[in-house]
Amino acid sequence: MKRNLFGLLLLAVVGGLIASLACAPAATTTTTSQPAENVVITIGDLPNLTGAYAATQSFYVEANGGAVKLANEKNYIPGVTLKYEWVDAATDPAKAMTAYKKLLAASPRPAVIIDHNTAIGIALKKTVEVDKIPIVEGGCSNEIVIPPGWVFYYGSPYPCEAGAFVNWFKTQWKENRAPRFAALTWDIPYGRAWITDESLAYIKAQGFEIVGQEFIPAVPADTTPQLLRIREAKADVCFGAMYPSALAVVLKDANKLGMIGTFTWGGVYAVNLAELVDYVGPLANGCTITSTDILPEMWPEKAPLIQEVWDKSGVKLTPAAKYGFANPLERVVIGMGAIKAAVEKVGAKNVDGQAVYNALIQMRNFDPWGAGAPISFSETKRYGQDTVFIGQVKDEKLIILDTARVPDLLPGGKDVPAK
Amino acid sequence: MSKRPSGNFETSYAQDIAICHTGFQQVVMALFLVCLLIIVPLVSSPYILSVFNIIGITIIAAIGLNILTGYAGQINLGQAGFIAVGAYMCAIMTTHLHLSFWLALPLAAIITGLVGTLFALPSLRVKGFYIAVTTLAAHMIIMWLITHGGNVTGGVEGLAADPPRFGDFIFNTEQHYYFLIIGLTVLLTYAAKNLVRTRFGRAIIAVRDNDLAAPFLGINVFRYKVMAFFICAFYAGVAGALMAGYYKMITVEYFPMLDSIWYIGYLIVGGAGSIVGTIFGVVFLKLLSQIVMWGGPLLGEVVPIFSAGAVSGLMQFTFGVIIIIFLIFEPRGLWHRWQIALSSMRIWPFPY
Repeated sequence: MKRNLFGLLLLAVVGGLIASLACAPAATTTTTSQPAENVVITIGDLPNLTGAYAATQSFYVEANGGAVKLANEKNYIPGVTLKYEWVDAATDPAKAMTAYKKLLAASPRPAVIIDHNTAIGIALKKTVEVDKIPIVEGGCSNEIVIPPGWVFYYGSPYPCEAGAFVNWFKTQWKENRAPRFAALTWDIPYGRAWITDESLAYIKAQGFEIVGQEFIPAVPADTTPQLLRIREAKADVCFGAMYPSALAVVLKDANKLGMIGTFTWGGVYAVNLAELVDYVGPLANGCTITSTDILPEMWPEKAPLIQEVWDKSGVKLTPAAKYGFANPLERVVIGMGAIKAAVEKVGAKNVDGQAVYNALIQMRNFDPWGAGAPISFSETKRYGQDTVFIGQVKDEKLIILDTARVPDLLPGGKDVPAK
Repeated sequence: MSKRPSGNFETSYAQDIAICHTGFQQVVMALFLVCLLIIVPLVSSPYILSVFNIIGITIIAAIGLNILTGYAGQINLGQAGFIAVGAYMCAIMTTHLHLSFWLALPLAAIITGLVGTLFALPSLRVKGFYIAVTTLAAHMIIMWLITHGGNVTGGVEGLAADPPRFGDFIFNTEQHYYFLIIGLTVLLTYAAKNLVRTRFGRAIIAVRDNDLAAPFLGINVFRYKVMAFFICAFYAGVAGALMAGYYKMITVEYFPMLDSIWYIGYLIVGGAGSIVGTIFGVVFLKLLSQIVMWGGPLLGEVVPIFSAGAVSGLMQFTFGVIIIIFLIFEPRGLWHRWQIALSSMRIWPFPY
């Protein structure tokens, strides 16, 4: 009996697998009915729906798929129907490589792929160069932008964002001594990417005293040791890169230790502060980021298309998710913009990865549907934005304080202090 | 005789431990190998070949783990860490020392084997749950060393690895890697199958079954445990070196702790203590992960309430359910199912 039951279960699993395989090629796409003569061009997407990034990225498919659908409805690229394909990259470069191969098997082969993970961007860099498929990337490190390859980071590099943050913090500093600066960040490529010789030299040159570097795991359980060392070092400001799920643990531990208010926490763009407010409420007050996006409240006026995608999104998203909604969407808009330019240049039928790559390196002051600062790439420049918004949580609400130019702190950059 | 006749007619140990018992089995094995090594790479798409390549690398590491855990009874929760050692050693040797991949691969495997031996030393004093925790610590120590290795390991930024090459011929397609990876998988599977049929194999099985009785049979328990660790880590080293060559870029995030648990899962599903079972387990779960990869978006498309967010983590969920099902209904794994099927077939149409 037991054996028969197992056999049935096994049969059900295998049957289910075969049934899914049989149906799978017909699914996984977002297109709308378009004239039959339209050329179909595929945009691939690698959201991380499993692992440490999952909580923040779980609605990326709705955002990006919605943007592609809207572009088709509005005939954004005349004569072209865009097809959206996604595969879960699972916050794991090894799994992402397989996911990437699956995207390559799509018909037609993607002309551009959107990615949202620094480590995966690094892992894909060599491979996409061989396959000649450009990536519009949401994560950044020096490895991604130097030497210039086929991965295009949409924002400004994290070391440069750190520079913009300290410039802003300096204007807020009232005391008659050098502010004490510490790193408090995720111990993964994304978390450490902003810590470079150039960014540290710049922070020092701006009059900060660097008093420590603390790293926490991607899924932290207790950050007390790191926080105690921060307290020991008497840091006035801590900067880092981590998702709100991890920062919430840090802030709760800081609260237990009576450290809330003793330092300002600053971070790079990917920290969704609205999500953080959901997790920790008033503990999030004062947290500040260098944001690449405008606020959702500004969408109706400044980014009506983003608002439309939001309005049409079939899935009910939390208010916190709304703050992160435009972020992945910006990247897919850049991808669509590059496809549009490529179509104009070589004709819809001839658009491939190479044509989109050529369009990306010629992209100047491209408006990502109003969602963020203009995007410019070049033959040698692989990051898009030269300005950031300074966003902060005040009274449990996210506000934008300022727009700041990001200093060029890549190796050999013009704002790197001389040794 | 086309099939193995009912009953056991072996008259020597050599016949008893043979891989193929009849001419028919030899023909089937030969056809399988021809199909695997010649026909599959010629007719499959790059995507299918990439799945085969991942399966091949995983089989090598899982067979190593099976020798240690399935045959020698030492639970290893640090296999992903040992694979990382192999990958980084290969990358360091090809990138920093400019050694050929063909030299780097065996050297990386041997060094990984020695690292495994180092973490086997506590097995002199501890066993069971405690040795498992030791291997867990091994993973953490290895990851810490890699992330703090500066320019040598590339820290968290990772390290580029040179792809394998013969002169001007560079391995840069899935088909090229298929021949390398599947060729090595076949070779190492055969080596492992032979190894467990030798004195060494019988000794580690004795250690697993009763490590108090084993010394009375003249078996040096500690020595065999250490040797099993070496072989396990050696196989992990080969898998890691292949990963480095295949992916061309490695970071610590390729080797999460969770992967070590997955490797134990392969043994549970396939059948610990069986080389063929290991292959079954890896193939089953890897194909399942591909299906989930396809099925996730499909589910969201067909049933809109299952948004992408709702299907996130589907693989972990499926993996958990599969492990529970196997632990309850078939703890000896797919390999045991396979044995039952073969036995039934052998005496068909008289199953009883």
